[in-house]
Amino acid sequence: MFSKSLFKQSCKANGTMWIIITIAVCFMLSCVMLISGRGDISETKDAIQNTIIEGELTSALQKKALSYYEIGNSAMKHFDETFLKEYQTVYAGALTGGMPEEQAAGTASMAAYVAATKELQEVYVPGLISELGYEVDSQEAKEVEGVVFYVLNPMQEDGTYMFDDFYREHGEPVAHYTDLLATINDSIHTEERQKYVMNNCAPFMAGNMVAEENIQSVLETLSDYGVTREQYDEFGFSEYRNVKDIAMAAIVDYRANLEYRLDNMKDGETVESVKEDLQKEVTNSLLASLPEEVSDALDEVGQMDMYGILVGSIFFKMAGLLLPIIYMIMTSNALIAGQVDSGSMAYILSTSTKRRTVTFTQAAYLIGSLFVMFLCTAITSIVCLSIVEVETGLTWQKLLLLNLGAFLVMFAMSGICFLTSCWFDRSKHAMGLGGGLSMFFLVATMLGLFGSPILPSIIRMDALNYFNYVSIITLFDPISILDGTGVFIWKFCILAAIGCVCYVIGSIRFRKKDLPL
Amino acid sequence: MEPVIEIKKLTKNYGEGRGIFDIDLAINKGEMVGFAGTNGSGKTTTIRHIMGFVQPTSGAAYVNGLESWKHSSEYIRNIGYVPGEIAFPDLATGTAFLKSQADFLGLKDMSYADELIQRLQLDPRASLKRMSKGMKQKTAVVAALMADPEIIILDEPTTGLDPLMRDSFLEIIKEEHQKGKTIFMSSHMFEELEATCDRVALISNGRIEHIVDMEDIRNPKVRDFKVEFVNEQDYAHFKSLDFEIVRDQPKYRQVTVALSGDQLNELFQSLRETDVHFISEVKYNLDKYFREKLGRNKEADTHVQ
Repeated sequence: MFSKSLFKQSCKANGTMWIIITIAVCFMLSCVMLISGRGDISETKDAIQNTIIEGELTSALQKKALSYYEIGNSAMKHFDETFLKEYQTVYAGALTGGMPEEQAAGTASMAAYVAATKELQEVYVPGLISELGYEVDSQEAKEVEGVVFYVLNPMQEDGTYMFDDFYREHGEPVAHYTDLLATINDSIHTEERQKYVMNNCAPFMAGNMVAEENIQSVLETLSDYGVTREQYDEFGFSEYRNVKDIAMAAIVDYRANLEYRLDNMKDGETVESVKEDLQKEVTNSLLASLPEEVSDALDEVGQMDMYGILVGSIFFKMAGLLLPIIYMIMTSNALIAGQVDSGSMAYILSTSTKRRTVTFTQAAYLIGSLFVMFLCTAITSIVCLSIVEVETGLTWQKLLLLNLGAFLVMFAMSGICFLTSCWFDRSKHAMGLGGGLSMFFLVATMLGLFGSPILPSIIRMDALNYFNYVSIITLFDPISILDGTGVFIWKFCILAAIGCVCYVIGSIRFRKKDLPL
Repeated sequence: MEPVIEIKKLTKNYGEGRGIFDIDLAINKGEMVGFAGTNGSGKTTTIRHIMGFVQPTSGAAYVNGLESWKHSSEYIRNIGYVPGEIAFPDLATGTAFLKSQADFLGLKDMSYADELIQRLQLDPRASLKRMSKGMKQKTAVVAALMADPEIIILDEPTTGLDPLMRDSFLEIIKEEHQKGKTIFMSSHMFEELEATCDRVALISNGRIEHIVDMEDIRNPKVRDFKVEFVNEQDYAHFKSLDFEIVRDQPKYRQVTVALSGDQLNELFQSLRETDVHFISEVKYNLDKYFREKLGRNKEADTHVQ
């Protein structure tokens, strides 16, 4: 069954490559474990958390800017309507009163402006507030009121405008809605109104957001997620310019797209639904709503055992498998198909070494060399773990299981390669199919990682998760090992079974086939 | 006598007319049989069957009475095999390879191997990768012969050897033959088979065309002699005599006659009074023999068509 001479020969032929690969893998492993064990890992974690928070806050700001814009725009539209109605009534009345046209127009516009302003103040805004379901005098109600009147910037009886000071204070150009009323009947009025609203509501929002009491109240809500004032400042949310730029950009984006969408509305879409969809797109929220999902995402990141994932899922399941796979592809080919292809197998078979003995010995060498390789990495990893001081759930028992898992993956894949090596007479066919398949599994695992649940949900690409279903390496489950659940055991069994079946089929095929020697 | 290698109705059909068909051949103990044929005629396939590497479509090859496909591992130790395509295992040097082969064979005594190395002027310490074709061939021969096997199978063993080396190699093979080894050697060069073999089988397009006893070639019953005459009268006179003329070249005044052993005296008698420029025997060889046979077969084929 076992030929010592053949085993010796295989060791001599493939030993050098084995030593090089083993040293390289152990070196890589110790680099990964020692370097990442020096605290950089927790910084990464913080960085991820910050990215999430910053992204969410920005998206919340954008959302707010858009709703400000919509409120302002609707209000001004309503203002226009009231204004026109009032103007015509007064104008017609004045003319019948015998007033000259010019004077009548002046009087009418004055009266209409006052009436429209009054209408907004007394009917429209309270109506809107109750429609939105806010309490009178609540924070939200004040905000709605603020948007409308800061945008309008109403003229006072003495001819000055109410909020000029506010705009001047922030270095914004002062604009008055009264200037637009002269062209109220022109076709460009709608667009001008929108621009006016945009230019006025963005500064209002920015000014509002950077007001100290508002910052304090935002920080209060965010304190649950560990956001400090320093971080908040660092993100730039307490800076007027920055906030205004975010708001302006969002509104510009929204307006540009809205026009296009409304022109190209599909069946079943209403103006409302288009606006709603677009708002979602523009604000580009990573999570649907800030409080709950962000806290979940942050919790997720907080609980992540970064070190364990790095060693288990990234090293043993991916990076660390590459070199052993290369060794395995080359060796499995050299052990059978290569020797049949070149013809050197004739020397082995002409020494009364049975084919059964050949496959058994070569399989034993291949499995054995892989086993010893992962024995080396197991020892290396345990030594490294004892050196580093890092907050992790890894123990030496779990490291042993990780190494066992990596070995079983290699066992299953080497079975496939051994099978193709026994099946084909040509090296290129054996390597092409067996090696190609192994490499495919590895690449699929790499792609699948970006969609796998070990990544925090916000940076995960779910579509890539499908790659996990086509890779045999997925049956190696480091997460289950790290969490201490027993799921990994039956997956290990499948891997072992795949390997065994392939080795057996390969041996049978080699015993039965014609050899071109 | 029980044949050592016996091939019975062996057929391996690779389709499209390729393969070997109905091969029948028996090689007795101590016999050296040559296997002649052009490239691709089926020599190597037949040898692979004897080695048990290939499963026959029908028929079988037997070695020492054992069927080759099922039982080759039981007798293969007694076969020294030099494959047609020389490729060695992935080892560093020739010495390492020979040691490894000795290990496989359980061979402790390397003295015969050393002797072979000496005689073939081989430096086995050279790296296997850097060896020339000839050196590889020599290494393969040493590996095949060093365990002193009962049967030796050689698949085109002399390709890549220079003429001098080929002679010393054939010398070694002859010696092995004299020691009583059974030898089966394929080649596409008739001369070397002629010089060494007891019998030669000719294979063509997967079928054995002829098996010829080399005694018949070396000592033919009828020999050809070519005579050139100095003058025309003698030439004309000679042609009128009762000899079987195989070839007549009036331009050179040459006549080739076929003589059985006892006619030789008659020839010399008739030439006593004539001026003979030269007289020489036209060597009969395997090449000629097979050409004749194949030519006749081809003729027969064309008649059928």
